Amino acid sequence: MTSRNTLSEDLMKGLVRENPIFMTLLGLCPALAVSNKVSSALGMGAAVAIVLIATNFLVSLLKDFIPGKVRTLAHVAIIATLSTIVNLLMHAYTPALFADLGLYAQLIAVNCIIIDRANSFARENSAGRSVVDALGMGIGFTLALTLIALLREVLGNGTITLFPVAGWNGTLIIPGLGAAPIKVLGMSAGAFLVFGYLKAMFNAYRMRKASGEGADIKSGQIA
Amino acid sequence: MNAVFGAALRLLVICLASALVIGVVYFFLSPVIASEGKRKAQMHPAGSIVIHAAREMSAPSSELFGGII
Repeated sequence: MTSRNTLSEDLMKGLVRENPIFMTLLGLCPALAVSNKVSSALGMGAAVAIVLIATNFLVSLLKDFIPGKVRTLAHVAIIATLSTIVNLLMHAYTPALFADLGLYAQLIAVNCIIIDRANSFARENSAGRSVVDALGMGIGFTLALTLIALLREVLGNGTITLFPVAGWNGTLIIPGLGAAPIKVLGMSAGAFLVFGYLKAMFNAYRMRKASGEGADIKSGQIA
Repeated sequence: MNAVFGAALRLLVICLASALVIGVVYFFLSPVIASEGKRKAQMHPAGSIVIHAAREMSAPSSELFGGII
């Protein structure tokens, strides 16, 4: 029987300890490509989270039906189906977001995070635990993407782009920052710079926590 | 041999189910996607010019042209 502690552990590990972007370095391609606007980052995060949750649920339910020989092929077929459905829904109901994400919306079908969680977690655990794990990873991915996008957009453009709501165009202008923005942060190189600094901060946090717990730290790596 | 055949058969079932699900979702969403495309074409300056030109023309072929737009 799954205890409440196990479920909360499954949920929380995706936020910091096993964060897909900053700790396991999965799904970096869309993370760096669509993190130039906060709205795109939120949209991408939500789309990946939905596909991830549905994939983990289905893979967990079908784990006895899917033979080991064709496991990866079957998982890719399931992920591609769910990704196509999410793409069709975005195209129909959020066309502006769909246009913003461009090719990266279709590339959710081959997202490493989704394939990894299906192969390593969902096929060995119950549907409930798989869904909770996917929820944690999805939230962790969305938060990481939004953090990168927030820094890039605020410092690189002096704005925060959200979703338009009746009469408001959805763009917040930060006073003082728009006059002299750090333009490079809005470009592709800026994504790598921001990601590098945030990754360094996460590493420092991890090392400090590990040294506090008495773990061996050898030449900057946690043993 | 039987195990390989069984695995291939199960994969085929998953692929067919996937195709069926995508087909059903597409069937219900395609009118929404098409109407969104039409609205965008009307909002776009080039789109509105083409629609206006199609309405101005009186030849039967222009009705078809306007219908497609």
